[in-house]
Amino acid sequence: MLSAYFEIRNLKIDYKTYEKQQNVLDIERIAIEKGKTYGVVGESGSGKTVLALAIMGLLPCPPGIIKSGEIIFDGEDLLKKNNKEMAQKYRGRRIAMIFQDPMSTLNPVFTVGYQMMQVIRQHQNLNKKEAYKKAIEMIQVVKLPDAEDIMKKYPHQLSGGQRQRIIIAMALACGAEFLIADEPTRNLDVTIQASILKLMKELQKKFGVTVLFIANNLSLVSTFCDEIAILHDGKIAEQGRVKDVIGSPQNYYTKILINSVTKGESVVRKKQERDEVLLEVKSLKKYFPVKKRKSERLFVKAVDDVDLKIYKGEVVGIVGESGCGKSTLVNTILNLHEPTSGEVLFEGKNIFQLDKNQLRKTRKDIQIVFQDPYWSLNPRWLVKDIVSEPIKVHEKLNSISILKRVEDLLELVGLPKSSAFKYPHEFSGGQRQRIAIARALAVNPKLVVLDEPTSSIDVISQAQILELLKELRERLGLTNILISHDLSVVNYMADKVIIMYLGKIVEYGDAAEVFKNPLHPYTKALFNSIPTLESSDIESLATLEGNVPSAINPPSGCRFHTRCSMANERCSREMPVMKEYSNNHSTACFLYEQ
Amino acid sequence: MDSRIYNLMEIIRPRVKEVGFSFYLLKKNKLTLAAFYVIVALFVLAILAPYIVPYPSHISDEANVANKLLPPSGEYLFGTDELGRDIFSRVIYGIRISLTTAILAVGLAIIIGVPLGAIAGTIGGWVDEVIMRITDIFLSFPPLLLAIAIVSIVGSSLNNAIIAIALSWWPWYTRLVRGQAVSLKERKFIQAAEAIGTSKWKIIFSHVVPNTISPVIVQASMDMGGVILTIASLSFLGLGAQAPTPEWGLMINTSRNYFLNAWWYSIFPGLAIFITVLAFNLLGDGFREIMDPKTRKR
Repeated sequence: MLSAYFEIRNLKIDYKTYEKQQNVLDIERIAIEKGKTYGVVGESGSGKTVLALAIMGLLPCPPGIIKSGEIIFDGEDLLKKNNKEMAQKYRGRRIAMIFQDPMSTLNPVFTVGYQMMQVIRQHQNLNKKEAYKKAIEMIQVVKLPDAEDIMKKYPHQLSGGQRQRIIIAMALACGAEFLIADEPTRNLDVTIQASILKLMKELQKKFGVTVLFIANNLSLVSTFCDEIAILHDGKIAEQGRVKDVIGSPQNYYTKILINSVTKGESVVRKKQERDEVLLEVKSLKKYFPVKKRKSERLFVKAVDDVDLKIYKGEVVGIVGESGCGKSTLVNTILNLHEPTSGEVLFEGKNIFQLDKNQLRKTRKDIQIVFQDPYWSLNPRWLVKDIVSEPIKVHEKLNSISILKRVEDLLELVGLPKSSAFKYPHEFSGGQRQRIAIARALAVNPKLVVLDEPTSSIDVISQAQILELLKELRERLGLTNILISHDLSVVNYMADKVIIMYLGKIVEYGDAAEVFKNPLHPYTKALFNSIPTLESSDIESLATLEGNVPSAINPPSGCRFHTRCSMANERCSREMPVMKEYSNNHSTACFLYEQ
Repeated sequence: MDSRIYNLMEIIRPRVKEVGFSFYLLKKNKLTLAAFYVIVALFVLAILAPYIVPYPSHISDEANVANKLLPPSGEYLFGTDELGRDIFSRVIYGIRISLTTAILAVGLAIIIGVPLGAIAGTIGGWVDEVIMRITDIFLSFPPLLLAIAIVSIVGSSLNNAIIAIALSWWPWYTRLVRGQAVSLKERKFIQAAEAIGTSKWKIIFSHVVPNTISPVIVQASMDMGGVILTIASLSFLGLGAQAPTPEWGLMINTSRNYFLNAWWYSIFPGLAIFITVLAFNLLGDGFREIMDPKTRKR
């Protein structure tokens, strides 16, 4: 049988652990033609990274055991090569890898230029001057401005997107013809992600590189790749052309995965009378001091002049890229730190002027569910202690009634009662998030803040957690603030949406309205830069030029004008104010001023 | 009574598994395992000392000059000292003294050091500054020198030596725990506790301290060796245990006068110190590996 350019046959990899030897990867066949893009989609723990490491010959053995199989690259079986041969002929030279965190690949103590030249000279017989020229050339190829300047910088002086471009440049500089990209955009903002992907696609065509793209985001992979394989528990659940797999999924797991991406919008959007304001934020500012430069003090303006109102029973989604100030805003509302100025009124009382007792009462009414249930539960506590922590702080109850309450709460969030006497590490991510929800609900709060409640758990649990949150909200009449970068989650849960950019709210309104008819150019770019199952190819995604400006010295006028394609001279001069343009839909942009 | 009855096995099994896993890790490292067995043996010997040593009365200053400085033989395994006492009995009894003093000294250092470190790391600000500067002052003296100074002020005795060692050892724990606490503060469960309204003290003692246990245990088992050595040094200098206590350092000190014609007198207490300290150091190293979350990830 004639083999493809790259082919994996009958690859079986085991991991030996304390309890047993476990099969972690069992792949019958993956074949990639030269110049094509092949995507592997799988959740964490599905064996994606093991696959990448096995191809590179970097799988740690033990605990890994390659039981059988062949990895054929250009006619040669990589598994038969010894380490020296891999290092000299393949790794870094013909096969390169792009990791999810570029910081871990770049050495922080050397300049980018030095490292690039090192890599180039290691693989090609060039002198210093030629290597320098080559490095500059490659930096220009990956479309970074001021190549000479970039060469002199240290990795930490570059943004995440820039670093990832450098890694791509390094891979291509050595003439890699096969690229393994392991979640290359995971830590990047969506607008940056789109531009990196576009760059990769373009370079792929230019250099004729074959790409194995590994990620957990189905829409991303399906947009980027020609063919995909769905990896589940180390086995390929389904593979084939993107259109076929997405269009007519055969496998049960694939269907769930596709379903989880297309959640649809919130069905129970209540049109209730909005008279009771639960929380009101008035011109809130939170500046963090940074190092003093001579006499002048500098501040990071994390939240700058934010006004908002949250009515009882609403779910308000806050959307924005990392660094836009959404977490700071929420932490300030939770009174985890003092604001620089402004007020937060909870049921009409300013929470920053409460005495100790009143503050404790307010704390009881506002609870939070954090993003990562692996870090938000104390690993040394039993679940019963974790869930009862707020009860013990706020109510005087004897231990038996506390235990009874804990059991009721656990049942409420769909966990068995016996969970009370277990430790958090005995639960899966989704179950842990349920424990965190139970803790948040323990003292009947009025407002629950959900900080990316589903972003670090697997897709199946994600859907269940969202279902649970929705159900609880209806049953208990909760008011929620939902922070998420996942627009489908916000669309599914929220009644209202707030879009933030660089410490300011740029758009605000009913979720249905905002999603259907986004006004602000930033909102539009944000919505269009996220790949969906419908996006045909990577070119259809919107990108934003440049990086997010520094929050220490934000642009004058409209903060978005530096990256806005519609900006005119007025935008850099004047700061637009929030104005309502249609029913409950306001934005801060001059474009809509009549 | 309905809901109170849990499936006990369901709760117990993971714990048993956890312990089993720790043993599995322990077994993987042969050196640590050997050290572990040595230390278990030392504890057993220490507890059973009065019942197993051939001459229990020889730990006092009972003199039996006729048998003085006899070389090792079937009757006296390690030979006898200048008063005709069995060195074997005294070395075995010495385990008791070394282990108890070391445990007390390290325990005291932990009791002082850990809360201070947790407070400094969690509260921060000027509290942190004050605590850490005091710590720095203590750390600027070599621990042995500081211990000698303290004992010379309060007077030489084993109890004072324990206190002196604890006083010169606590800053290491403060530093260690403070570092842990600072990184724990960024963990979401501490923030969650704050948002719930849990008081600062409760956060420090029920959230922060339990989560610093692993590194403290590792440090403590490493320190056991160092502390045993320091106690022996103090006693050797005449600042710790006083005659006729069968303390290893003290025994070596006395043996100096007879070193040329009675090698067994100093060699056996010295070997005892050597083996004990080495075992604790190896165990500490092993503990570090076992408790490292990276190793624990299966």
